[in-house]
Amino acid sequence: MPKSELAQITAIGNVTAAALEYGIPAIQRILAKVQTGDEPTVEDLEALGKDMKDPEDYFKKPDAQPAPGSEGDPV
Amino acid sequence: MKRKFVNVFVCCLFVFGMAACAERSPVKTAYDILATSEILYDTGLTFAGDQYQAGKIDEDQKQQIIDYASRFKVAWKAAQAAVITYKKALRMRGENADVSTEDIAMRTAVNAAKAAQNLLLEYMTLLSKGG
Repeated sequence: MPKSELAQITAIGNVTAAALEYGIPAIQRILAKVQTGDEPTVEDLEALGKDMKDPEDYFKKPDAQPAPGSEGDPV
Repeated sequence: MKRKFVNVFVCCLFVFGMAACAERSPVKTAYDILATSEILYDTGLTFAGDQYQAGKIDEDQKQQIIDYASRFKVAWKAAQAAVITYKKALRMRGENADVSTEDIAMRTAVNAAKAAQNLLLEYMTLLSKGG
């Protein structure tokens, strides 16, 4: 098989994997939120964004340890 | 990372557009926009974070994404506050009361949040194209 074809198949595989991993769950979450026809209450509006993280949090290394003296989980 | 963002976000933007265009009350429309943009924010930054861990995003690009995302988050919070204010005004004054000032504030804030999100998504799309 020519290298270019292999690269193309790999690229398609990567895009498919990304769509499955990120795109479909996002769309499912969106549909779950917007499909209800009910008028949102103040409480519904206030509940939005409760789990919204800071942008920096997404780039933290998974094994990052909190610095000594910084806030952490209470013991 | 290249090109993966495009597919993810084109699909999400389609749903986002559908939510924004549907004929609903202003509060329901604003709620849908806020809910959708919150999920897009989370999805986009999760993907960007994974790409950064994989070494496909450099420090400058990471910082740029954080800058755009921070601006979006501030605009999103302002929009949320404006929608809550509008809803509370309706509740206090009755459904037929004049809430035009709150309505203008809500629409302006929601539009600002959408604009901030567009900036973030456009930058991430540029990255995906290698720009």
